[in-house]
Amino acid sequence: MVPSFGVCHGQYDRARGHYSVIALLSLDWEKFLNFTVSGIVIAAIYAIAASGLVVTYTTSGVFNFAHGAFGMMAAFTYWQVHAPVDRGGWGWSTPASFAFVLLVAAPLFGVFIERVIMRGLEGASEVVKIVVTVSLMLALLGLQAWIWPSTTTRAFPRLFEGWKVNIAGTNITAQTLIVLGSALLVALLLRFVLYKTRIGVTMRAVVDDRALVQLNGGRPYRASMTAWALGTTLAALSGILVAPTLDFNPLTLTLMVVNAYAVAVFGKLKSLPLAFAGALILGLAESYCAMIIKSDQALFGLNIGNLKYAISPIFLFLLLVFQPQARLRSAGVQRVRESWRVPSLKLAAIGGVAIVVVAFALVDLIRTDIDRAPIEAGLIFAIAALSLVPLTGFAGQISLAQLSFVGIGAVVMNRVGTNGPTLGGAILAMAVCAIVGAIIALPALRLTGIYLALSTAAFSLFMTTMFFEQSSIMPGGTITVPGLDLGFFHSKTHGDQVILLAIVFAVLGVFVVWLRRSSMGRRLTAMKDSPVACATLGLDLTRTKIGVFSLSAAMAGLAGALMNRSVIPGEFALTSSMAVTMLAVVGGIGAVGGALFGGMLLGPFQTLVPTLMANNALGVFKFFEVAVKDLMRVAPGMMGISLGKNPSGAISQLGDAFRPVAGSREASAVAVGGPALLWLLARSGTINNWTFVACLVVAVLAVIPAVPTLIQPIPGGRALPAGMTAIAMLVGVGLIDWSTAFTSSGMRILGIFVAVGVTAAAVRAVHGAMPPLGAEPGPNPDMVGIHDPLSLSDVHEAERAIGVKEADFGPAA
Amino acid sequence: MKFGGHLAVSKVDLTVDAGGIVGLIGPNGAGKTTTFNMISGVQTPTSGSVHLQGQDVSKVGAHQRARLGIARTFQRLEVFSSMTVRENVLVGGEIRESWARRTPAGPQLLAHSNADLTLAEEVELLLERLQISNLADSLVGELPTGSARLVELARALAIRPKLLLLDEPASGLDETETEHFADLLVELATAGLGILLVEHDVPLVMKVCSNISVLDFGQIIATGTPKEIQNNQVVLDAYLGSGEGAHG
Repeated sequence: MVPSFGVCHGQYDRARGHYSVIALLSLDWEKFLNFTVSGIVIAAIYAIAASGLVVTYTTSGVFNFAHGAFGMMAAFTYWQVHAPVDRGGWGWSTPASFAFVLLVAAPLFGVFIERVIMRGLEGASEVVKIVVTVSLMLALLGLQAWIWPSTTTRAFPRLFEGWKVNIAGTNITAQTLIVLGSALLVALLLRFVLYKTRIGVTMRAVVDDRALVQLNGGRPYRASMTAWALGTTLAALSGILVAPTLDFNPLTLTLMVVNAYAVAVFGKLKSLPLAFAGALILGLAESYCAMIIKSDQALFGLNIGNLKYAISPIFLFLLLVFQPQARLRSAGVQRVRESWRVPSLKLAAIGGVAIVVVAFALVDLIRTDIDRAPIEAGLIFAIAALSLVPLTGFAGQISLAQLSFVGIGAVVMNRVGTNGPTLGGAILAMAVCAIVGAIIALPALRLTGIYLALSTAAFSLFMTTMFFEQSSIMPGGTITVPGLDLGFFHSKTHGDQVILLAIVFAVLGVFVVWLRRSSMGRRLTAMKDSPVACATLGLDLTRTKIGVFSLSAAMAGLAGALMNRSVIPGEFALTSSMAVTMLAVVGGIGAVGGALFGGMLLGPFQTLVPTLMANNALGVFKFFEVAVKDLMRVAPGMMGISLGKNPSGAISQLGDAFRPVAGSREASAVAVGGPALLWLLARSGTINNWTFVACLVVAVLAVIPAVPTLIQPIPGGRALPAGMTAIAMLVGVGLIDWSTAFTSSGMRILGIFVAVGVTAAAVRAVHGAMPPLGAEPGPNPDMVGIHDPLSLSDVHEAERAIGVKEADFGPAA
Repeated sequence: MKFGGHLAVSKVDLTVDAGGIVGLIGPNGAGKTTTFNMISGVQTPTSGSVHLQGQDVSKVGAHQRARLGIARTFQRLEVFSSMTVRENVLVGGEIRESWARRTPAGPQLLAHSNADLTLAEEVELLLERLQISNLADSLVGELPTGSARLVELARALAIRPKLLLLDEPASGLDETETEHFADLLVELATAGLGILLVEHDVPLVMKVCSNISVLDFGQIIATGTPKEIQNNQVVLDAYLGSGEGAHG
C-alpha cells in the first residue's frame, strides 16, 4: 500500500531502543532523490516569491496579498509573447520573452501600482491596506479572465524543452537548473542591493522611520517605488518559473502565494535568509508528502490524498503557534481616517423594521419565486458581511475566511437538521463555528493584525481541501441544507427565505448596534484605538480578541445554517471569502448598513448582472466596445482598490447624503411616502416592475437627498421651481414603459443611470444655490495654512504631533 | 534591557513607597520610558525583577500587573482617539469592573467620602477633579496635548491603582494647570498612592517629589531628596550641564 519509504515504515527495535536502520536501507534511492530534487526546485520558487513579498512589506509596510496574482499575470504575459503565433501568441524567443516580462513589463507594473495605489495607503489602517491588496488580487483575476478567456486551452512551455543532464542517476532538466540558478542569483542580488547600494540602504532605513529618512535627505518614495518594482519582478519570476511545474491555471498560480506567506512568516516577514530556509523546509515537506501519500490514502476516515495542498496552511499554523507573543508598543496616537456614526438603538430598530418591510414588499412584487433567489443570496452574503462588523469594524481585526464558517454552518445544519431539529441545527452550527473560530484564531490573535489575515487565508484553503472536498463531508460534491422549521413557520420557498433572512439580518443588525453601544463595544473600539493602553488598564487583549472572533464566526455559521439549498465546496473558497470581506469594507465595515450594501453588491449584482447582460456590449462608441460582463469581473475589485481614498466605505458617504433627510420631518415623510406610493402603483399594475425600479432609483438617488433644501429654502435658491422640476422629471421617468422601451437590460440600466444624472442636474440647475451632495472633504493637510486658513483643530494637531504648545512661544497669531 | 546590541537600561534600582512621589529625571534617551515599560510589563527586561507590595510580578503580563495595581500614562499619547473624553475614562472604569470581581481593585483615592460611587459618578468625579468636565463630550482625538494627557491620567485613575507611573504628564500644561496638577499629585500621594514621575519640568519635580533618582545612559547616577539632587555635582555635570539647565 505505502511505498517502501523507510522513515515512515521504520521498525521500532525494542532491543536496541531505536528505529532500525535496515528499514531505511530499503528506501528506493532513485525515487527519493527525484523527489528531493523536485522539493528543492519548488523551494527555490517559494523562496523567490517570498523574498519579493518581504522586500515590499518591509519597505512600504503593505503586505501584498496580490503578490501571487502579479506572478500569475506575468506568467500569462510571458505565454502571450512567447507562445507560437498559430496558438495565439506572438512567437518571441525565450530570452526575449524573459527579458520583456522581467525587465520591462513587471518593473513598470510595480511602479504603476506603487504610484497609483500604494502611495495613497500611507497612514491607512491595517484593515484598509489588507483589503486594498486583496481587491487588487481579485481585480487581476477578473482582468486575466477578461484578457485570456478560459475557452481556449493554453499550454505553458517548459524552458528549453528536452535539454537535460544526468547527475547521480537523476535527470536534471534545464528547467530545474534555471530555477535553482535564479534562486541563487536572487539571493546574491538582494544581498548586494540591500546592503551595498545607496537605494538599498534607504530601503532598509525606510522600514525604521520614514519621516527620519526624509529629514536626512533620503527619498522614501523612490525607495518604496524601487521596492515595488523589485517585488513585482520577483513575483513575475516566480510565476514564470512555477507555471510549467504547476497547472497553468490562473487560480492555482495566484494561490501559490499562500505558500510564500508561510515561508515569509518563517522569516518573521523580514528576514530573507530565514525565508529561504523556510522555503526549503516547506518545499521538501510537500515533495516528500507527495511521494509517501497516494491519491486515495485515508487517515481516520479522511482522504489525505490532497494533504500536499494542506501542508503550507498547517506549516503556517504551527509557525504562528510557536511565535512569541507580539510585543506591545506605544506607537502614539494615529490619526483615525475612517469614522462611522453609531446610530441610537431606536434608530437601529427603525432600520431593522424597515428592512423587514422592504423584504415583504419585494417578495410581494416579485411574483416568480426563482426571481427572488438573488435577493436571498444577497442576504446570506449580507449576514456574512455583518459578522465582520464587530470583528473588523469595531475591533480592527480582519478575517479572510468568513465563508469557511458559513460552510461549516451549512454542513452542521445538513447533519443535524436533515432528519432532526432544524432550530437545534442552527444553534449547534453557531456553537461549532464559535469553537473552531477560537481555536484557529488563537495563535494569530496573540500577534498583530496581518498574521490573523494570513492564518485565516490559510485556514480557508485548508478547509476547502481537507474538509469541504471530502467525500465523507459532502458525498458526491454537494449537500443540501434543510430549511428552518419552527413549527409555526417552515421556510420552503425563496420568498420564505427572503423574509426569514431579512428578519435574521435585522435582529443581528440591532444586536450589533447594541453591542457597539455596550461596554463590550466600547472596549473593542478602545482596543482598536490603542491596544497598549487597554493592556495597561488590565484588559486581556488575547481573550477579548478571541471572544469577538468567536462571535463573528458564530454569526457567519448561522448564515450557513440558513442557506436552505444545495451547496458545493467551491462556494466556500478563499477567493469568495475574500470578496465578502472586501465588499463588507467597501460598503463600510463599521456600519450595519455597510454590510447590507456589501452583501447586496455580492448577491444580486453578481448573479444578475452577468446573466442579464451576457451578450450586452456597451456599444456606445464602436471603437470602445466592452462587454458589460467583463467589466463586472473587474469592477468589484476596483471598488476595493478605491478604499485607499475613502476608507469609511460607501455607506458613510450615502449616510452623509441622507443625514439632512433624517433630520427633517417633512423630508423623512417624503422619503418613506414616495417609495411606498411607487410600490402601490407597481402593485396595482399601473406601472410595470422595470418602471418601478427606474422611478425608485431616480427618486432615492436624485430627488430625496435634495428634499431638505427644497423644504427649508436657502437664500438665493428657487425652491419651488426646483421642486416642480423634480416632480416633473419623476413623472416623466414613470411615463416611460421601461420594459419595452429598451431592447436589453444593459441599456435599461444605463438608461436608469442617465435618468438619475439628468434629474439631479436639472433640479440643481433650476434651484441655482444647492449645496453639493455628500460631505465636504476636509482640507488637504499639505495645503493647510497655504490655501486654507489654519483652524483651531489644525493647531491642536500640530501641537500634539510636535509635543509642544503654541502658547509657549508667545502670543498666538 | 537591550535593544539590539544597545544596552538601554542596565542598572536601575527604584523603590516607591505607598504615599511617596518619586521623581525619575534624566536627559532624553536616558532610559526613562524603557524603565516604565518594564515596570508596567509592556516590555520584558533581560534580567532583573519588579516587586509590588512584596509580590514578585516580573513574570506576569501587562494586563495582570494593571489588575494588581500598576497604572500608567504614556509619553506618546495613547488615548482612545475616536471616543469622547467621558468615554475614555468610562472605558477605564469598565475594564476595571470586568476584572475587579476576581482581583479586587483599591479604593477611589479622590473620593472624599467612603460611600460607594457608581461608575458614572466616579467618572464625573475624575473629570471634575482633573478639570476636564467642560471637555467631557469632545472627541479626544481633537484635543490639545495637555488636555489629552489629563484624560490619560483620569483613565489611569479609573482603575484605582496602587502605583501610578506618569510619563511626562505636565508637558503641554500651562502654568496654572501645572500648579493645579502638582496639588493633585500631592493629594493622591497623601491618600496613599505611590507615584513614579518622569518629567522634564524640573521645578515641578523638585516641588512635589519626596525622592528623586537621576538616570543617565541607562544607569541611576544619583538618588536623594530634591535638595541633595540639586547640589549633587555628578548630576549637575551629567544632566543640568553647567548648572543653568533647568527649563520650563
